Amino acid sequence: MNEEPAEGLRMAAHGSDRAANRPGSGAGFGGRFAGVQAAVGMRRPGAGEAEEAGAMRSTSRRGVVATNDDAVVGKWSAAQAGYYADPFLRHFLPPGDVAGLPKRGPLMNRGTYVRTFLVEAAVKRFLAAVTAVAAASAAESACCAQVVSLGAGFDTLYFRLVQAGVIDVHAHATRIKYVELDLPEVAKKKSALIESSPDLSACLHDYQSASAHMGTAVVDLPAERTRATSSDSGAVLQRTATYALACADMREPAKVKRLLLDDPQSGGLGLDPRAPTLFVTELLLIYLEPSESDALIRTLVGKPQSKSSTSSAATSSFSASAWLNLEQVEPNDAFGRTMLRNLSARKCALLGIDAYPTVESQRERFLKDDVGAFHHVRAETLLDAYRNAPAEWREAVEKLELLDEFEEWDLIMQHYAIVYAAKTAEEQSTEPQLLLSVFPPTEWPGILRLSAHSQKRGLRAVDVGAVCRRMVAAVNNQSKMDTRSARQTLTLANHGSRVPSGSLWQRCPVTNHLTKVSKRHVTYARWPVALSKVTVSFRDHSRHGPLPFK
Amino acid sequence: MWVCASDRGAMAGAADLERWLEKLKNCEHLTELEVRLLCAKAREILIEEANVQIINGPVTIAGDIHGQFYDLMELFRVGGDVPDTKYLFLGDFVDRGYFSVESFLLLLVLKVRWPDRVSLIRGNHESRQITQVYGFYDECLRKYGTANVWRYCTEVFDYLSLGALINGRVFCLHGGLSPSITDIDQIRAIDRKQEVPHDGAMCDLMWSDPEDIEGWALSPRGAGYLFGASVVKQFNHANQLELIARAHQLVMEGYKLMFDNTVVTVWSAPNYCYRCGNVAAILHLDENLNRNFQVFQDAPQDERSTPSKHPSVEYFL
Repeated sequence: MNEEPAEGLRMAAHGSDRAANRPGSGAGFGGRFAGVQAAVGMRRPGAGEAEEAGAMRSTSRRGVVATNDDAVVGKWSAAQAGYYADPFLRHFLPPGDVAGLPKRGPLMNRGTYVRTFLVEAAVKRFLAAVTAVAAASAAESACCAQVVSLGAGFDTLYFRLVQAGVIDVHAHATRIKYVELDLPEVAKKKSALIESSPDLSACLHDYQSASAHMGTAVVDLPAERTRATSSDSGAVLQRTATYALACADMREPAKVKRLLLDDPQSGGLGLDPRAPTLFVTELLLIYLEPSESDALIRTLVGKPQSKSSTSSAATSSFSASAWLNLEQVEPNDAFGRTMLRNLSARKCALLGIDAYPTVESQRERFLKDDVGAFHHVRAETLLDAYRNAPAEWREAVEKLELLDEFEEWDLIMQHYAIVYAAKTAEEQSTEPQLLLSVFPPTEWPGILRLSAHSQKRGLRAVDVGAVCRRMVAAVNNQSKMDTRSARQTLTLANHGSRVPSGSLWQRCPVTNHLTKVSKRHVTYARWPVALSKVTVSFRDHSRHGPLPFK
Repeated sequence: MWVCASDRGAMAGAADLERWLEKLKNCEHLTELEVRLLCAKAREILIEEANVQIINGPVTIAGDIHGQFYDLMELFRVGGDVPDTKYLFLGDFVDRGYFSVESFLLLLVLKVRWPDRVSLIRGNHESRQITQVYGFYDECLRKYGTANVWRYCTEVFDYLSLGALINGRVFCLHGGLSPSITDIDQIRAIDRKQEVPHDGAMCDLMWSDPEDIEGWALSPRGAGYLFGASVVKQFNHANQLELIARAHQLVMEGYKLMFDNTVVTVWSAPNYCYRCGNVAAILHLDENLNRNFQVFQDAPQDERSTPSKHPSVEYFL
């Protein structure tokens, strides 16, 4: 990327996990810091408002693409610290000595893991819900889950899902399509890395038989294989039954849509606009001008602009869609202003932050009739998302590294918002409620999402809420009780003792009777006299929600 | 004879101190040998000091510094130079910032040069374990190639006092109170010359935080406790105190009074980690213990002439 021609200002492009040379390779590093320093000075009294505003919007294609490297190194650091396993990340690390990579502090590691986890959990919920419905249906083409990661960068989620068995390249060949789009300079590099690494390409073709290849070293790529040219836009670089990787510029939404919907014969990816589709934009939209990001959302999932237009695939948008967005908010407080300055100095200014500066405005953006026109939107800060996650999971996370920067943790996590949006219109061809699966289950007080297991047994979501209430009643009555599912059985031993709860655990945050949550058991110090609120969760942490309790 | 001569040659004299001071004021780091000599001299002075130092006002109290050297220079510009102003630093000199080595050694030279005008209290980051996580260890390795300087400095950490008492009325420490300490005399009985323990009174003094709770609670930091207004009231009454001055927690406004002005948090690292955008403060107490907070911003950019070898400020990107 260093040999790229001089970059013009305002060439915003994809964000998040976008690729580039690693910092430290030549000018990028020193120049980047020099920018930070200049920006610090900019805030001093004397610097004019106009000058400051200008300095806040400094951006370049290279700067935005470089955020990908930063993300990969950050995720590597979090994985090394033990937050999660990602055996594929090392293939995407900047060339050079792995040991020489900058180590991130506990605060960055924890936050990086939390955001990675939240996105992964939502994608998993979506895939589980769609495939469960598809399995129950006789028709072969009944339901096909499509995940489209815009500005995917070097994200390894697809590979991790294959490794975890969530996606089976054979069994799900007609059930799941996972598409990644990014700028040519990122996508081509990723494609070349996939081809040069047996364990990455195994995830595309036959993971089970190829897993013996795991453990290959990082490969240096010849530059000619990764250099982007003007003809790359729209090029499909990798294509299997379950996975595709293609080049696209998100500032050209019509082209993006055509690429997604066109037949494979005519160079497209052949997605079905009526199939349930989850779009993921993890730190992408913020690097675009608000008009561009709005156009992208509107083009892909918005209402058709005019009814007179033909009903060809190229004009109809994804009607059964959900959207997951993660990006920065709150630009106007002290932390936010500093963040804008620091990122602008790295030439990846947050162009969209003033248009959508709060969690509430993020919510409205996806609800707006002329943008996303989604029916259900949930937006929350990463801090709230973390606090709403099961306490058991948080306890495990917090044990990993000693973090003593609480004030700073709150600050940085308050400056990121995660947005879940879904359409549930009746005219959709698929189960309207299906797309709600991307939401963290707390979206529906009193209703617990079904696990794939109980869905097969035909339980409806609301039934589980009732089941849980019965369980809580059983706790209070100290009686033995069985539910319809063995996995949800809760047996009481005796007064005040452990409650072996199978795949469920409970706590009572309001009355604080809970003294200890272990892996499988909940211990009450004494019996709750009156429970007003009980949180129930499945042990895989992907589903939980507060239950109103009478 | 030979041994004596080399010993004398290796002693830190007044001329050495002046030379080191000049170097450090320009953010130049000392040689490894110089650091060794300085740390040895500092230990000689610190070992004589009590766990709870007795200080007479007027004095200026400073909170966390965290290796933000140029902001420390800004602090001196605002608060006055040593020895004209008497300073009490509440710990956390190292970690997080880019210049932990220079910041800590500068404070150490000042301490050795004017022992009665500078007091240093130990913070929770003055620990072998924490500095290996939060940057000081890596910085030493980066700047010197070996961990020797880190070792010399962490040896000094073990000798730093745990608290200070100003005019018998203002108790100063890094973190907060401990459920195992009801009387300041109990602090005086601690054997402090050790690595910061994981629990117990010495740990609590460096890790605890005041919080709007009733009584005591476990700290979410994983060490120390949270303590409420009633705890402070009881402690201040038992020890005839009017104020507890502490640092340890980032305060966006630089300082924060709590519990009816009986506890104050002083934070002296402006734009903490070059990311938080906060202002910093120091607290000046005059001879009658009248309080005067001085708030300051981070140092102007043009002060920082050092070529940048630092990683950029981190966000989730």
